[in-house]
Amino acid sequence: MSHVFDLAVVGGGILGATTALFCARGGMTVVLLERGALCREASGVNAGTLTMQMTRVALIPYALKAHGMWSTASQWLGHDVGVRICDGLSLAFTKDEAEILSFRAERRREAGAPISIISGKAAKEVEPGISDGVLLAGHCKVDGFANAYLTGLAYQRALHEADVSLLENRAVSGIEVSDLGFSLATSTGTVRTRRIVLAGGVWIEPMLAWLGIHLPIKTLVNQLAVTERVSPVMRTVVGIASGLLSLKQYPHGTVVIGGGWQALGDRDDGGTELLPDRVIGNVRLACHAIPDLANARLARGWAGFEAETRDALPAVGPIPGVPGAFVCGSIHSGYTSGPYLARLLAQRILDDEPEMPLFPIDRLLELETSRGAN
Amino acid sequence: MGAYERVVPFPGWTLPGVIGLAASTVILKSHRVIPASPVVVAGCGPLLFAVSAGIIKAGGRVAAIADLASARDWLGTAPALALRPSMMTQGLQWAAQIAKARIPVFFQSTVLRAEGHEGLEKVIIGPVSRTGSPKPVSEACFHASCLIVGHGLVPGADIPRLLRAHIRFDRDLGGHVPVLDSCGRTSIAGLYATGDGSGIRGAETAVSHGKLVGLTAAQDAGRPLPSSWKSEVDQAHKKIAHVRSASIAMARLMALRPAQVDSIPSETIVCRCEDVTRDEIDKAIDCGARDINQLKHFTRCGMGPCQGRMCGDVIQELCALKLSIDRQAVGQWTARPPLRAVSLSDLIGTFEYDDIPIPNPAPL
Ligand SMILES: Cc1cc2nc3c(=O)[nH]c(=O)nc-3n(C[C@H](O)[C@H](O)[C@H](O)COP(=O)(O)OP(=O)(O)OC[C@H]3O[C@@H](n4cnc5c(N)ncnc54)[C@H](O)[C@@H]3O)c2cc1C
Repeated sequence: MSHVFDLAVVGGGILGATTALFCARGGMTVVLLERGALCREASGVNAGTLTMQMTRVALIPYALKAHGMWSTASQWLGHDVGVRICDGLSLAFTKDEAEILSFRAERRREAGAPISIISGKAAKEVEPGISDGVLLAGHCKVDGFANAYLTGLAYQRALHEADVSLLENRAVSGIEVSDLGFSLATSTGTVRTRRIVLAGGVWIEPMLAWLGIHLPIKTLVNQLAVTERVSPVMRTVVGIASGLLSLKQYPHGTVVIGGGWQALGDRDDGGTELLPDRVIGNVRLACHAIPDLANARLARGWAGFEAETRDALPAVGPIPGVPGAFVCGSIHSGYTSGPYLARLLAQRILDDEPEMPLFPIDRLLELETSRGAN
Repeated sequence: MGAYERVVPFPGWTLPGVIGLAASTVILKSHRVIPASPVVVAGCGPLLFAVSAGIIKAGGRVAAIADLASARDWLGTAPALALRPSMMTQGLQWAAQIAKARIPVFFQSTVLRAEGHEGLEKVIIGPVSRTGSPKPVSEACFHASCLIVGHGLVPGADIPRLLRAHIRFDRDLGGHVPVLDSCGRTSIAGLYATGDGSGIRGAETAVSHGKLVGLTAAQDAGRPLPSSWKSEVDQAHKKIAHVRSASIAMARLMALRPAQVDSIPSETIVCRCEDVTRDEIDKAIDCGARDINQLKHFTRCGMGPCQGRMCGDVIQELCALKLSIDRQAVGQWTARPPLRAVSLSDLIGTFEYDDIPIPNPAPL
């Protein structure tokens, strides 16, 4: 009962789980508290795309490092998340899209992503499955995908091997701060710790409120759909210039159709609802890009919650005014970049100098106070 | 919303030539097709005898019937059936037809395995204990071109589940059913449930309950009702009460027997869409899967074309048995649209690229 952990991580998504893993490997005693089962919110239901062509420019250097981590997951994670490294294409069908594509690819290239612009004809050589209507395409060899639903199983094993105390079905309902550390109130008693990481996905807003900190988080409700198994219709990751499409076919034959079309949903009760027009819109776009896809059948549609801060950049760093407390969340395309950013935070928690700068939330809180003062 | 057929897996159940018991009634009645003879009919519930008699009548040949229930179990239903003379007479007619055709009926027996190369060739039947687990004492082998097998029905409560109405588990009603008030209202205003999808209670209950629910819905919506509606509601209630004991007796015969599920051999496929074996399910639970959706992520069970409608009940039971928790605690797979697989070409219709309402570009 009086056991005090070096670190408690609240929230078992990709960010919390990775932070816990590296801190434990760095020698800390770590407990991970997850309200449900490990990686069954955003980190288990996402599209698993590991692409630079949908990543925010400011995150490209991080995403490149993270892509390197994903492609060697068997080494540092030790378990299979079904990662496939392949080429990625971002397509432009209209003049407007071609303009967006060229501009965005250039900005991402400046940030380090090896994207080249190729003709529709050249794109068809990279991906024979695409339609003839492609004007231009962004081509990137650093792309690929993982099988997101395997995240929980892989991390559960890795955390176990690293001696992390994994407490699933254990919601935290509040935090008490004292000179000695933190007491976390949970459904079945108190957990005491010297440091905490709040890694609650879209729920970092209510978590930070436990510490009296007001950080507004917008909840995106991303829609996805998956087909039944079909014979091969594509071999790359395919998107479009605007970023509103992501497509790939898994080795077992299903095709996942996404791109961030919005469903309805409520972070507080967890319910989501797909809007038929948007499902149809997303699927039309998919079939326009890969015409053979129209022969498949839709097996399932769903939606999950993704967090977004006011400036759409991550909230990863120390929590101002609360020594020993950290936040880790709200990373755009956070499945791709998550493991690397979480590892950087672990370096900081272990008192090492992080390899690259974190994204402390002071900037967002200042924004809040100045808004409040107005 | 109807029901799904439950088949508790056994070795060979995925061979061509093995079909569902309830499914066979559709083939016989609607399509007037007789399954290839000789046929073995196995499983539980009154359909065993209805289907066997139907096949004989249509000119087919039934090699054997294997019923999980004992003759004593059937006798036990007599008091309830006595209140329903029509059902009783029907049952006796089937029995007479089967006896006349000299078809061996194995009570308290099950299909141990089905064998064959390209398709079904042999069905091996053996006795079970009172709880439904096979007893390794004797076997009988029948050559068969078709095995018709079914172990009861599971309520098709997909729509209330999708809409997140309150759901409860009731073994006697066949599985997960929406929580209803006495007039068929679910926990969601304006959503009603009736028929097999609200619990397996047979055709007659469904008719009366449907009437009751229709009148209730009309009343809730403030629609004009016939002057006789109150007496119609009363009558429906009475009728449901009258057939209640018989429909419960039949439903119990068809309810899932945990011991039967527990005896599924480890190399047997449980989720046939994704080829997931019992062993893989057990291992996933050993690895820490504690709820049914986690189990699905670990193994892909329930991720195929049927989206778990066929295997869900059995896999949830396996999970409950292995963890020694009740079915309510195991939970159910999250319901998601579409209710049935839809072809993408039907979904998209004809369209112009420019008309796709593509949202604004994501931030750079
Ligand atoms: C549908 C969808 C598709 C996406 N597609 C992609 C993609 O293709 N590529 C990509 O890179 N990114 C994608 N993303 C984004 C990516 O999934 C997320 O950025 C990432 O998974 C976020 O991880 P997280 O750990 O911050 O949050 P989460 O995975 O949501 O984890 C937060 C955890 O905190 C737990 N929690 C909440 N409250 C409590 C409490 N009180 N006590 C204990 N635990 C609590 C939750 O149960 C949850 O498990 C997608 C997101 C969605 C929703």
